[in-house]
Amino acid sequence: MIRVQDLTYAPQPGLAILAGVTLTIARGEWVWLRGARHAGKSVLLRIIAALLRPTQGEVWWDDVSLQRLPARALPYWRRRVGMLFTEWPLIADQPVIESVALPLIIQGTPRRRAHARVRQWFDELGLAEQAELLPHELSGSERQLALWVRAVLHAPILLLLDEPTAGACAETAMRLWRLIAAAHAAGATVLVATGGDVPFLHEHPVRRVTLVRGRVVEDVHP
Amino acid sequence: MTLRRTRRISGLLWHAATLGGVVAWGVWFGVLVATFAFWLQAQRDPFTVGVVFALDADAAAQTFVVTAPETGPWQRAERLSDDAVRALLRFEESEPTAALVLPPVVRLVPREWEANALADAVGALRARPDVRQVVYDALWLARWQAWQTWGTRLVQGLGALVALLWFAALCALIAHAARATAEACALRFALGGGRIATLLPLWQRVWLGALLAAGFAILFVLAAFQWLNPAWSAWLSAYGFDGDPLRLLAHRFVGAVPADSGALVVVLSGAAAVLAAFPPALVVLAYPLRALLPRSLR
Repeated sequence: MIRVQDLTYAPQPGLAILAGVTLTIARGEWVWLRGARHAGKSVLLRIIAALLRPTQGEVWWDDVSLQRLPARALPYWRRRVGMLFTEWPLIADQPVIESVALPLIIQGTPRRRAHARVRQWFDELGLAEQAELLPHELSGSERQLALWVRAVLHAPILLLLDEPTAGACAETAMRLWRLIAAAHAAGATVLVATGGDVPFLHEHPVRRVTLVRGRVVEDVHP
Repeated sequence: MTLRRTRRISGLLWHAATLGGVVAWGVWFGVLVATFAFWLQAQRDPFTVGVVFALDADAAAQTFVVTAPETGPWQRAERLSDDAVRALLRFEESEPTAALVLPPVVRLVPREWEANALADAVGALRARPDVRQVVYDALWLARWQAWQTWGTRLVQGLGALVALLWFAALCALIAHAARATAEACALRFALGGGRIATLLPLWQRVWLGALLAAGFAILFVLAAFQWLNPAWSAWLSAYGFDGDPLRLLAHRFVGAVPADSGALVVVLSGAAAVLAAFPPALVVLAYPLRALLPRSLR
């Protein structure tokens, strides 16, 4: 269970991106964070991933507070999380397979095995021929699929997805939503943030949380 | 050979070339700095040309030849004390070895002297029956005169400009690598990398190591030059050398350096600098050239 308690994030005095957000997310739940730009969705995901420290408040995973963990323990938390963030793209001057295999390599999986796992995923998604290309040689849809593979490759317990279909064509976007649904069905806790409406999510048992200027204004359970 | 293996080999070659370039650049830069330090020292030294005489031990053991611009080319001096010899040899702050003082070894010709006048004087000295050996070294004068010519100044100025450009290009290359490394580190950090081993891939650690090694090499060259220079100057002066590491290098390569070997040394030094600068040049050029490689080989 994730407990977000009275979370405030203000990088400058008077500029509160999150203002007292409190949420409780059960294991295996799928939460859709909705909101316009600057609503605070992305910042909330980053604080949950322990990439940002909140100005105030805490995030709990079961009975462990991420803010009270020593700095050396935080990487181990991040290794249990699958992330798809726009500012963490594929590494520009390395073949796609290198970037995608990183979560496994960081965990200590031998490079060859990590690459084999990536190839398995790529085969399933029809990206086998793109594995050795550089990121700029892929289409937007292919890049998003590769990022998706990087997010789920190490079987994380929590998926944090920020605009997971950005830059993908409609067909690939639908495919990505189905993949997310499958990961959720397999037991992952999913937090997905989008700026716009996603018809696909209306047809699924997804909890909708709407943020406006850093505050939760709507929380609709399925 | 499979595509993957081809890429792996080309990648290894790529990193090896980069690494070699960085190390070579470090050495080259070290030599450049050492030469510059030597040149600076030469500017401070009031004596441009060192002339070493080993007088006949029986007939003139107590006689030293010294020069002074106001008294003419050569002046037979009175017996000099050891302290005077030390002062003359400019070793006031260090203890000269016996080899330096005995047999009597004295020099020196002021900077204003021309090479021809000096050669005449040395020739006359060699003809004297009481002089056993004259070791004549006109390198300093030749170098000084070379500095005076506009052509040399132009060449050296261009050389300095080229060196500066190399330096700027290399800085840009390092900045590019640092930026790419920082991006990769940030991503690895976000994905759960913590220790240096998880933050930096192997080849970037090698890169970093090479840069550090190059830095240490430069420091080492500087420190060694500063530390060895007084001793080297003293020791080598007795044998006709003035402590210039490049000259010593030339001596090692071509054997005994001829009496007026200034031009040879300049050529050798230049060639060494060009050769040392070549690998970094390849690296700097290879980055843009790499984009032209077939995609499968990148």
